[in-house]
Amino acid sequence: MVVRPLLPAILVPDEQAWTMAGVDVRAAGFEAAAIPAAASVLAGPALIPASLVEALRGMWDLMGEPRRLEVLGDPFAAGVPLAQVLEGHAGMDHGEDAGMDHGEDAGMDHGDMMEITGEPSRDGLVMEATDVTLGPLSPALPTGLMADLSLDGDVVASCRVHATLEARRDALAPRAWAAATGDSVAGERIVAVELERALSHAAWLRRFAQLLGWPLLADHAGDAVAALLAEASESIDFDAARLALEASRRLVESRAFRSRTAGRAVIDVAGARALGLTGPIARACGAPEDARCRDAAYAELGFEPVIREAGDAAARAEVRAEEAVAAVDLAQGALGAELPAGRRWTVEGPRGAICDGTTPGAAQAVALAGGLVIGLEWSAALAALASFDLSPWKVRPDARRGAHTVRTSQGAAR
Amino acid sequence: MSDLATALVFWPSAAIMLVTGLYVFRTSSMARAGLLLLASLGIEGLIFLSLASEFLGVLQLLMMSGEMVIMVFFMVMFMADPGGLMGMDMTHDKRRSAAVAAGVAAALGAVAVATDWPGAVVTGAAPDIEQIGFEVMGRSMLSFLFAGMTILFAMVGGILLAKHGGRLGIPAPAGEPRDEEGAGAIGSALAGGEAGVEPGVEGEPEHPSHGSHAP
Amino acid sequence: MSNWTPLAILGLALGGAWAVVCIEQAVAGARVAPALLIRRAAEQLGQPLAVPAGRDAWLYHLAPPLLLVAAVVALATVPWAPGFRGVDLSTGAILFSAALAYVTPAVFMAGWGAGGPLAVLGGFRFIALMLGFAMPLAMVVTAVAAPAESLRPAAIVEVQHAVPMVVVQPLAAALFVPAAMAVALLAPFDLATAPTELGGGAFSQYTGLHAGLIALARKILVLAVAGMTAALFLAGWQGPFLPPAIWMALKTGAVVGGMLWAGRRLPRFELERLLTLAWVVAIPAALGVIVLAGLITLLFYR
Repeated sequence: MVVRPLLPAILVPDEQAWTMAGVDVRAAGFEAAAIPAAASVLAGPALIPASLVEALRGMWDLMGEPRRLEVLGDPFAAGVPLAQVLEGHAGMDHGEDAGMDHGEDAGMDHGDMMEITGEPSRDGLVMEATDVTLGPLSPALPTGLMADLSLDGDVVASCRVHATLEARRDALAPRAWAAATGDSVAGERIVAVELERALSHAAWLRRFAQLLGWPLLADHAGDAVAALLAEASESIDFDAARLALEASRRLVESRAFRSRTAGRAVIDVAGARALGLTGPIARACGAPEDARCRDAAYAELGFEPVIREAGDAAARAEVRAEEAVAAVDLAQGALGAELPAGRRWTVEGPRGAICDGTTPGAAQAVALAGGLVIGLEWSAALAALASFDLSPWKVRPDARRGAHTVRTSQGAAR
Repeated sequence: MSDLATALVFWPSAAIMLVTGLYVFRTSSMARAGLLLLASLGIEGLIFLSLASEFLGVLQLLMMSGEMVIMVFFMVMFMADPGGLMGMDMTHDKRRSAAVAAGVAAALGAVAVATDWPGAVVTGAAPDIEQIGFEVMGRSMLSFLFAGMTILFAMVGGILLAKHGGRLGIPAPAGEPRDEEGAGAIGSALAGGEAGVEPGVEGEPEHPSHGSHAP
Repeated sequence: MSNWTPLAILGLALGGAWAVVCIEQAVAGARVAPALLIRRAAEQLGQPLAVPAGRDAWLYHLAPPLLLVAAVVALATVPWAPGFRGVDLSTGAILFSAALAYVTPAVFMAGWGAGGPLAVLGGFRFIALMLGFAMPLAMVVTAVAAPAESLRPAAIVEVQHAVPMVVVQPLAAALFVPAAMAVALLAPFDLATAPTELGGGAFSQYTGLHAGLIALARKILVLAVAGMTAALFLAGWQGPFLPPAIWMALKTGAVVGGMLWAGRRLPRFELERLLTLAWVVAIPAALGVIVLAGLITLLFYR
């Protein structure tokens, strides 16, 4: 597919979030820039949450002239108007920040220089620790997720991940949330949820491939995303999506992929159960947690949960890749079919179960992920972190608990 | 090259070599020291080129780049204050080292002046690559072999000395002075059994001292 | 080397860099827009220079020119046609390796000079990588020079009049191409300047003229290594029917396209794996290649 050359732009939020908000960034002519200085456009949201404002201003400063702002949509649905944020911000003061990692330390010339103290690292040499904070707008993480790392050379010595965006529902899975809280016919609900699952996994896979530096996989995942981003469910090209997702799945199971992900950040079944993890993370460890198993409508469509035993980054990726293919089949089967209503107190979103206005296991996954990358080299650690597909949204459950909250979907999907 | 061209290249290059060589010791930044040395010895390559020794000149340029980069690498790895920003005084034992330096300079100068250098004029078409090849493979082979082995042992030994606990990388308890560690490291390395360092071995599982960081 | 050679090399550098960008766009499946590239380059050069409050201003400012000089000198050693052999030194192949060897200090200086942890990490990654890869690169050049009994690249091209070197010494080619790609900071060996992992890595802190020089230098590097690959292994300008310069341009373009295409199809390697491959596999293989080259020279080329 020949496209016109894309303009490098700073994307706020990242491409995955834009995709889940229904915006095709590539169709708009932009692609994520490698460094801020190379970008001439800031492709931003209409409203931006307060927690991202400072990082955004720093990013704007790092973009050299000529630079312009382009608003592509409204994925956050709450916050400060973007134009206002940048207007009120004058000048190019760099301060002590350099690079996309806002607020990082300048590294080796701080601290105790007279004596190299500390624990010797893996290879027996005592090295000075470097602190790196990957900020909310870092390209290695989803927008809104922050990671505080301490590096021992280029190996991660400590890592703490936290989500900085807060809302009532996870903006990265709008249709699943709408299905959990609204009223809809079983068939329509399944189509919406499954298509969103396929879209979410494809968008995640594209981001993961970009992190791994693998344009081939990113292209396949991007083709799947383009096929699945259509206005109406009926006009989606299921065959194209399935082909692209099958190609992605083959690459995920290839040796090249496994060389970067196998054996990293392993979670075992007991640990997953103890923390109450749900979603692909749990299923990759061997815990058969899937809310769809208890749904008669899914059973009618021939649903089988995708389980892996290994619990490492490769297993998580394989689960998502296979689930995406299955999701396209399920959505196509549910289109226009008559299905039993079934119980739907719990919906299986792309990242896990959504139950009673909460996402059980999501916060635990965020807390767990940081500790699991300790001892990995920098690029392996970033890939392992990305394999969790963490959501940067902290879901604040509604005050009223018990009965499912009756909220109509507020146009968050489109 | 004509005499004028040779002189135009030779004398400024020699001056730059001396100046950058001097600045190697006046800067306290490890990176700058290494790169200034690279500049100095790299310019020497130009001097070779101007003296119609093409192969040696290009070889000098090639070798110095790799060597100085390795040196910077090791310096930053092992030294405190690699950025040179804390103003540490890196000189030790000033009087004795100055005396030794002056003595060695005098001795080398005496050798340079007293030697009966060959006076043949070399033309640009001299087949120097072939002659150098025969020289290295013939008369100088032993010295090159010896030099290479010595450098290898020095590098490996330096790393072993710097590691706590020797080759196996067992962490030392905090607070032990570093010189004892050095002796202990050699002892354990020698007693450890297998000779040589296996390349590419990174098979150790997660370091025990990091256990406290696990969730 | 005539008086026009420096000018010709500069023109080749600029035109060739532009051609490399066009090939890059084509390999990525995007429509090639030649004028757009020039406009964007002009835009970028117009950006003001922003110096980060980083570690070392001298090294930060000296790195882009050093990279450019290394790239242009490497390009100058490539023989393009019987009438235009670049800088036709009798030790041209070693000068090529020497010029490429200065890419390592340049990348290190860029990373160290900028001062941010990821930039410094990028610089050190590149040193570690090149320590492993520089030796196979230089050893293979020696092996290829053996049948020609000369280090002059034009002579190496001429000795391939019957058979290209890639057929005679395939292992040498298999070692040379990845090492050349690594020096030219091409994927999947672009650990030092990874866009997502390191936020741009060693070169991330450059804007304006510096960034423009670095981008230009990188394209020229790609052209230089591809040209030398074509000269050393694909018989350079030799070929029937077409003029020699056309053959050389076609072969170089094919090598550039092949390298960029291969980069898209593989994920970026991890440093440990690459170092293991370099020290455990590549260097012993390169030694074997030299021995084989000696045998082949004695058996077939004498």
